[in-house]
Amino acid sequence: MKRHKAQTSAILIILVIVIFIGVAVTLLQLAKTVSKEEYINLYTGNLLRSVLKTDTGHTQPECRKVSDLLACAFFTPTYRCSPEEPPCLELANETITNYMSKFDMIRKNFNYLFKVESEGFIAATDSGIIDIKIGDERLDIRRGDSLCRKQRCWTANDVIQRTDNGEQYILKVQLIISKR
Amino acid sequence: MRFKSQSNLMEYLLLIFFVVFIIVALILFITWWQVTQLGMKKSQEIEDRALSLTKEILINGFFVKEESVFDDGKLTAANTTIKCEELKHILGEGWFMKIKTLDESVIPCNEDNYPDCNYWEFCVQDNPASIYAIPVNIYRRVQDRYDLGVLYVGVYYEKT
Repeated sequence: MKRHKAQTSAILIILVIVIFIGVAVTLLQLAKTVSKEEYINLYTGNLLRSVLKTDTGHTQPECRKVSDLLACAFFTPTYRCSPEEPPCLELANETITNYMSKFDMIRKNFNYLFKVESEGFIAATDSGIIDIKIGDERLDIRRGDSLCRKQRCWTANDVIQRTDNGEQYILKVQLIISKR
Repeated sequence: MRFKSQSNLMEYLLLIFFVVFIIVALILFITWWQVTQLGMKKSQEIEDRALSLTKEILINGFFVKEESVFDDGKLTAANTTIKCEELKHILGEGWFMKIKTLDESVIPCNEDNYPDCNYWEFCVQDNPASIYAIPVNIYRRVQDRYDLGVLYVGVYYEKT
């Protein structure tokens, strides 16, 4: 009985030490620094607005800024900003891809999806409905298998307005980013 | 019987030893925890300050034409006439900022080469810092053009 009593005490002490270590590990897990939600939200919003506001280098009103180029891609997709360059739709894709790839955060750590859709009207060519999606389409929130259903995504939204023959048209622009 | 009492004594001595060991370990753990927490809190405060400074600079009239659109004329003027010490009176101590267009080259701006330049820096020192990078526009006054750029704002870990 004495031998068993000593063994019981030893087991109890070992149990206390194990609980101790468990509590320490749990507390360390909880003590991680707060995620940079606010920063990534600010980054995403600024990235979208800054890209849309940037001058493309063309002087025609249809192509002057990136937002103008996107509107051109929807309303006059075959228009050429200059003879040696591709039509608006293709040029818009190239321009957005080029700008997005220049940001380190996007290039190294994040996937992105740059989406432009018409609201209240449908823009189409002979090839079909015009719908700009640049980047990783798996991030599209409307997809049933969207990656954003499984992992954290950050979204920024903006609109491009155009008036034609007294009618106002709206393009919705959305940037979605997610960690690789 | 003598051996039995010696055995009991040894048991209790061992038990007391382990209890004392646990108490000392607990004290050391709590001390280590407090020190770690203080360090993490300091890091978090520096990161929070860097983010607050970033948001303030994005709307500060000394540098911007409108929110998140920096004016290259204002930046160059601030670089040449308003020195770091004066900016510290407005934005506090221990920070720095850099703004650059997305061009490959880095051409620091001054009154001699403006507007053929693309980089501005304020209060930069060679010390470790917590840094935030934000996409911005830079309005080029002479060309009447909006360029794409990046703003870097940092807070140094050690006060300078």
